Amino acid sequence: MKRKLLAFLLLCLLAISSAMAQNKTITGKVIGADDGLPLPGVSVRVKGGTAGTTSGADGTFSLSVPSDAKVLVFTYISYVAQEISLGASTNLNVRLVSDSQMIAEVVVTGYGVAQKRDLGSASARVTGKQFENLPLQSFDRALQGRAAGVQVTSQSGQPGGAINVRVRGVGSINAGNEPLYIVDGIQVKTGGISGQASTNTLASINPNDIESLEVLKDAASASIYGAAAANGVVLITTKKGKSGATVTNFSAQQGVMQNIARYDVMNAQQYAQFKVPGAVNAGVSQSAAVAFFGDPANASAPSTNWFDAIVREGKSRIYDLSFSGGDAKTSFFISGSYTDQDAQAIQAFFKRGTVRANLGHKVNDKLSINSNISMTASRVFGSIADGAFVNSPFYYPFTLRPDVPIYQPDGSYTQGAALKAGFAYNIVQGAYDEVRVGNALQTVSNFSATYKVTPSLSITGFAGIDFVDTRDDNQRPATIPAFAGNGGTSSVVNTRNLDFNSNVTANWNKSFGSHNWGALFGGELKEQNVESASATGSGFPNPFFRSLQNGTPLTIAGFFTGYKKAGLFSKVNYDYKEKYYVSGTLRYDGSSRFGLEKQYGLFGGVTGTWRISGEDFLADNKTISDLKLRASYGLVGNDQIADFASRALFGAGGAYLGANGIRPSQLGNANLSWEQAATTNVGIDYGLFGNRITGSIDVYRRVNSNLLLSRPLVSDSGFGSISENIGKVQNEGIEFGLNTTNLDTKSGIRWNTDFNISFQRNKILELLPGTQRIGDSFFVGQPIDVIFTYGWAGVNPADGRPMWYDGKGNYTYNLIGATDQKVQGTRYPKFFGGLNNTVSYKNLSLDFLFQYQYGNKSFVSIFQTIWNSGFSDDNQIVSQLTEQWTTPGQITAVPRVLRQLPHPNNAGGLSNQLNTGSTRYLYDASYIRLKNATLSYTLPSKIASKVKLRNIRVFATGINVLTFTKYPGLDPEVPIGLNEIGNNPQARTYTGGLQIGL
Amino acid sequence: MYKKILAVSVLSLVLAGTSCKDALDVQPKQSIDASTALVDFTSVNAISISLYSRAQSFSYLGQRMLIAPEVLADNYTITANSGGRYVGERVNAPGSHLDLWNILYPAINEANFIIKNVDRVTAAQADKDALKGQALFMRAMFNYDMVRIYGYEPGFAVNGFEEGIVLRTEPTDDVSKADFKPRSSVSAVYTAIETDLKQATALLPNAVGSAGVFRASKGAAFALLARVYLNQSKWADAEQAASDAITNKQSATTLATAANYIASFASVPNRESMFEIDYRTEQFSTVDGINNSMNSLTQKTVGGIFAVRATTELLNSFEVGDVRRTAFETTLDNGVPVFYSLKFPAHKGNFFNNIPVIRLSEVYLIRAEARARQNKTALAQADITLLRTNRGLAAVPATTTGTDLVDLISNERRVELHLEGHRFFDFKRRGLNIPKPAGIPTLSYSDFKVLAPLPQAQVNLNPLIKQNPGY
Repeated sequence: MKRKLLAFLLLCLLAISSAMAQNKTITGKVIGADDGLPLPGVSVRVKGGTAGTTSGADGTFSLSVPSDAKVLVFTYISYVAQEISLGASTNLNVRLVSDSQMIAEVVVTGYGVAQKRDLGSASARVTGKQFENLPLQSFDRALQGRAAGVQVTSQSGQPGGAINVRVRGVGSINAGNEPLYIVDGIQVKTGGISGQASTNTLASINPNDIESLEVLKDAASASIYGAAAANGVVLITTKKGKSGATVTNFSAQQGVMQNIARYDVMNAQQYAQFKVPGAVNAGVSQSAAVAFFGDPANASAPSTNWFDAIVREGKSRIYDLSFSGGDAKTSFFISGSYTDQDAQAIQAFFKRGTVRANLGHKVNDKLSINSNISMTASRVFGSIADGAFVNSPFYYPFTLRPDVPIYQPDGSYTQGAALKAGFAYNIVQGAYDEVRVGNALQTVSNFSATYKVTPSLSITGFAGIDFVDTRDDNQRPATIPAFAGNGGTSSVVNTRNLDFNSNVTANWNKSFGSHNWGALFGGELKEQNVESASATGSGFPNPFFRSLQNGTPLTIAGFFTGYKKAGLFSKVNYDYKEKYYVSGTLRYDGSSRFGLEKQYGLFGGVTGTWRISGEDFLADNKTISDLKLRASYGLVGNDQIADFASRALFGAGGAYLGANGIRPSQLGNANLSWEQAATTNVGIDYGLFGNRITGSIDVYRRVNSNLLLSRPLVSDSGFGSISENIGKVQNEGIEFGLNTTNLDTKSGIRWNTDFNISFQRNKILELLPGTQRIGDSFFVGQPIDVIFTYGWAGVNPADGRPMWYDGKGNYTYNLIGATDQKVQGTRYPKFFGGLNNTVSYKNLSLDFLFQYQYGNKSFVSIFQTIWNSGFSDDNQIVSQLTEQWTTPGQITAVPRVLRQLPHPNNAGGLSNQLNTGSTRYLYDASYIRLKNATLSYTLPSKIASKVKLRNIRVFATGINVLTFTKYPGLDPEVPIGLNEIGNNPQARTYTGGLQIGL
Repeated sequence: MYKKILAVSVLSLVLAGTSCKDALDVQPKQSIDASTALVDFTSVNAISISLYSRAQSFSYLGQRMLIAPEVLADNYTITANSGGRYVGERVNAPGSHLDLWNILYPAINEANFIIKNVDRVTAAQADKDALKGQALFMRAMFNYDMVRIYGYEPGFAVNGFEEGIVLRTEPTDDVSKADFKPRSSVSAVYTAIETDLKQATALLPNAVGSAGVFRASKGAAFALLARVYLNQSKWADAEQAASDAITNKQSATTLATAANYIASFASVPNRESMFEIDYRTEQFSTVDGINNSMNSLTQKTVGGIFAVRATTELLNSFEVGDVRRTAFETTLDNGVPVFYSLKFPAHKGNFFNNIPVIRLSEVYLIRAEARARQNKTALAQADITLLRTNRGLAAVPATTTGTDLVDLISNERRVELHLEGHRFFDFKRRGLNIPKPAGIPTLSYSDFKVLAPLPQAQVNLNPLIKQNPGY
């Protein structure tokens, strides 16, 4: 068939060439500059003339042109149009550049695609190309620093760990703030899926399978998702096959993961020097104190560095294989990958295998069908949790006494009282003996069929599932003294999560002269069910028996939650001469989460766009190649409230004498409903100097109202609060994006820069009626995420006592919670963004991304434990010994060391102790981080073709290579809303790899 | 062509629009809608489980209700390892007190659900009586424990401050019922407690079998009523209620002897228990056991906390030969020898044991005190002598009478009931100053810190309730 077509084409060409004797024939091949693949269907025509053709399946073309033709123009969808001057040569090899930032690209929108040129929305796009082969585990990390207005923070440095993504700030206090993720049309579940390790549902998608990420930021573009759109929408599109020869890609990489940061805590001698005098002051005899804390004079006292024992250099291995191709009717993309990463903490790892098949087929001219099928199995060993726990590797080792060995002389673990710790837990033993594993099996798959009723009307039916089956195992053997009492425990939690998503859409597009119309109508259903069953056994005969059947049943538990959503939506677009655009969206959306009185709501948005560069007066402008002014307004909802939040409920009411009780758990509110977000957005897209400089500027204001708040009830009613829609929050901001081609020389040097910066301001406008604050957390006029604490006034040089500021700004030793605490800062940055550079010279390419944020504060809560002048028995940072106050008049930041008892600062409640939270522990966490850097070299195709390969590329990648910050904590990438205490910090990863195409 | 469009339109309607309500129908499973929750006796009975579960709370009978009254007075003090626990209580810092407001009102609401609904469901009358009696008993105990924390004692108001607690007798089944109510007077609260307990004594059966003491019984209700009368200085009523309690006790409940006194704290139930809260492993996840159990906090054990120790004053109040003095062990607290009680030996498993709430010896102590106050000297001496002879001590000399006898009973309460939540309240109920260990000033009865503050958020929220003086 293909051959016949080719023969026919040649025949035509022959006929033409014979008809025009003055012509000459230009032949050649068009390939993609990025991957070297032949590009079929590229339009080739003579500039200013009529002659033209398209490239064949193998990218070759042959065109007869008038002898006076000077320039050939090559155009191809989502590639940069290229003009080639005709010289003497009649054989051209053309490399077309796919540029994700080009204005002419096709972008994915809600339930469809659009030319970016026609879009009036504020959206950010990251292409799969930009993060190909980065060892990221989940694609949401790729948004970090690359999408203006999208703030990404890691919740955990555990590979595959949870990520916070906030699109244009935080709009909700009690409902969710995660954007809506839609993978190939399926609204997927987000968040963690394991109770045993920090995990991320989105890690089920192999990042290398992704074609593009589209973030819809303004309410108008997101409003087609109605009640689910308030936090922005991230559209994830996976790769599809292109017709042509089958393309095989294989890549393999290996590397290491290193711990970046640690706290410098005391060794055994320092600890003794620190503790013994205090104990003696407190009335303990010198000999008793030395017996307990060690001899301060003994410089050779054996010392344990617990942190060294708990971190390691982890390993990272990633293998990826894909095939794509197809013919005129059928296309396919098939891939498989395997990731195996050992984390920086001992024992912890992340393993994942994925497979995917994306298939498309045209049954006939009218009907086409499509299916994306993926399956992922992952396994996370989290031996260890984030937070202030005895098994947290980034908390507990710093607190453990350095004069205690990890192992006894006989090789057994030091246990129990010998650890001299309040909770006698040997973390090294815990890491090795305990098992904390999360297993997940997940698929995000769909099926759709599109029927072209008429050339301008098509109807699509779509159904998809997001299915996650998880199993968590937590085994705590009796070898650990804390679990010996009940003979060790073993618990299993099985959870099944099924999201079902279906919709029917009708798409209509028609032009009437210069009037272009488009319309979309659809209906959608979504359902989510989460059900779990768990059991714990105890009393195992020995530590090697850990299966439930070897133990005695201890507890069983079950859990169910779920919701349903239903919506009808429509969108109408109109433009006049592709210059003036208007579009409107409406969605009628309901959710089972909402109260019966307010279960459905109407959402929508309008957009107006003026493509100024389409006007005649800019037609020949040499400077301005593209200019577009956009304005939009939309009203959307946030449905991320608890599934049964509106119901009056009776729930589990404890257990007694082996029977289980019930108790009223929640008062009903039939009016409880979605939070509402109204966003106004004004933006400009620009392209200068033939689009060598492109970018956009967006200004927005988003007001979230009807916030879900707990209205306090008199607690003598038996209930503390009821959920109602009352509060109001505003986010405003301005975003700049700038993409430049700084260099593009004939010699092959090319340097591109992508820069973005986002300024944001968050403010609570209203809380409960008549109140200005909720507890110590939320204040009208302040951002949502503030740090409310005491002001630290330093150490009194006269006596070494810690001092604070009271509410009036005077020094005090005696703090009063109600009056002396203030808002001392926010965790939100004033601005953040990224700077990406790609420098290439012929086959050598260097790509590096700096990511930054500025002006955010972080409360380093772990310092209350290890920077407290020995208030607690925990080991301390060395400065507590070397910089402690000792003599009157001494100016230092470290108060006089005192034993816990007796203690003048300790008599009178909890409010004014040596570890009292205050601005003493609050730091600026601004940073700039070289988030990733990749150096790659593509072997000349001559060499590749000698070994029958299309291309060979070698690369070296670093993640978190460099960090510039003044922050004294472990990692300035502190999750929004959390204090730093035991958080698993980001690791530095270096990998090297090989990519082969055939 | 039009048929196709029609078909697709119908399809989309079927998908998205058949019935908007049905399309969104999802019912919760591990919780149930309130309208269907209380349809039968089994359901209403299941709420009683919650009442006992509330009582198990570490903020209440599981720990704080037992330890705090000892540290607030002079029986126990903190160790170097308390980790912030009871630091404020030790010096009676403002606000460092028991705080049961937000813990017990949900439980009272649950009791109200039972009392309101039990008569509406079908079951044998005896079962319904027993259930209602338990709810009344528990509601009375919750109200009693709160009123003695937040209010002055009947007849001992300071500066005429008579505010008690908010009395709730109707279940909150709708947000409209969560209305503002003022605090009732102390005397009104005691009247309500008395009414509940009298009704409970009529409804409740005697405890049957040793496990009978794990739920409220007729004997337990009389014993609690006797306590309540003591607070009101109703000596004759207290004596009668104590006698009724002894008459109606579970048959196996007997005074421990000198030989088995220590062992009685390691038996299930305690052989003296009139009412005892049972614990099972499910209430003790590993961390709860270590961080919160009576055993971990009051004893020196491997992996335990050991937060509080006996004061020298407590140890010195034992007479020579008292078997109860041998129920202490010594250990080093950062090099200093200290003593801890063996009352909570974790005999049920990892860090946990049952909590005896009312023991028979307390009932005898109540009756002795009530009799002494009525100058029934010989009867009072007989009760105390009975107890003392079972503790390895001599009988009370016939010459000990009047205030000497009352003081002796008071010391007897101290050595018998330490670490069971009585010490602070034994002074407060008599309007006496609260003694403290050496080095800490005595807390005057008129000092505002004798009362716990109401949760400030509640005072801010509800214009009808007054905060306690001084806060």
